[in-house]
Amino acid sequence: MIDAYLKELSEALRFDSALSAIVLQEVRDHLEEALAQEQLNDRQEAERRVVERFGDPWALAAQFASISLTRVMRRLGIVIVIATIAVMVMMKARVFWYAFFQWTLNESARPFAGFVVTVDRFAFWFAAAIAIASLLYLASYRTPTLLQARHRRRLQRTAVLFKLATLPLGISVTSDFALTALQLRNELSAHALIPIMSLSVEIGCIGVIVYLIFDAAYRLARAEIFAIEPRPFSSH
Amino acid sequence: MEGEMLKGHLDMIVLAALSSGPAHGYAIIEEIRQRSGKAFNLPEGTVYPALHRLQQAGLLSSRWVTAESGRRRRVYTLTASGKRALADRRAVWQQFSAAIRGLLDGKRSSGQPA
Repeated sequence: MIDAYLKELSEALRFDSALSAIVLQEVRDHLEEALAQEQLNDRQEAERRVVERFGDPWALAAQFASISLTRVMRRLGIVIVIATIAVMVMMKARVFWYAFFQWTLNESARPFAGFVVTVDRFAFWFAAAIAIASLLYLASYRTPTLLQARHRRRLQRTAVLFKLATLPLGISVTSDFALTALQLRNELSAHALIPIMSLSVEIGCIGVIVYLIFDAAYRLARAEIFAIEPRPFSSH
Repeated sequence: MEGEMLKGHLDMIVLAALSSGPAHGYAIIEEIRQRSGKAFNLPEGTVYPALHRLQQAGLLSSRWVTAESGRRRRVYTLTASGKRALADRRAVWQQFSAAIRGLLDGKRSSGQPA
């Protein structure tokens, strides 16, 4: 009965495998401790009582879903803000590097570069503003005990805001890529390593954000069942 | 006591149960049961999401230990923020409790307009 219960709990917690491993270990310890306190004349009956006292695994998973998804979204928001800061630091580092080596653009490339810099600047600040606003939106409400449909809709709105922040950040990094390519096309030397590395960091930041956005969407979709109604536990 | 009535106070109950020292989930539930005179009858599993939520809020910390039985178990401890949160909630609860008691006893608090 305990194994069947843990199997069902594991299925209910499949939206977060790391959390599932921790919770299953804790619950197993609890159930076995509770079983040790029971009269073991009839082990099956004792296990049934222990499991019944513990409660419905789907109702339990619904409570964990609320905690887990809020944590995932907060982590995503923090990563976006940190990535935005990292992109800004990398941009400034390149500008400093170019000034230090007195690298200048060709006359013919300057009008295009000027346009790209404008796009870059607007896209970057737009991304930063949305990232901060979405993090504040997420921090403005408490994590409810259950993943009610209302809380799930809030999390989905936050996910949309994060995607909205990532899009202009991606445009900003693409602009940086174009500017770096223009700058380095006649300057390919060992000194070009710093601009290339800084651009790689920016692209890596976008990659991490995109991965976390997909991960959050996957978890939200998997936890959808809890936003409707917890399923009753059946040991049969 | 009804589970629904308790759920709104679960965080405070768990924090209070941990005020006597670090404990694992089962011991916390036993502590709640003993200290409440077996009046609180929540599904035992309900305590675990509360523990995770309180840890996420920074009110609890946890570590894994190996029990005498050889099982790995997670032990929770009140953090400094958790102790402050418990003191705040205790003060609010005592104020609320005194107000309800006064209401139910039909007594009027002095200095208050009728």
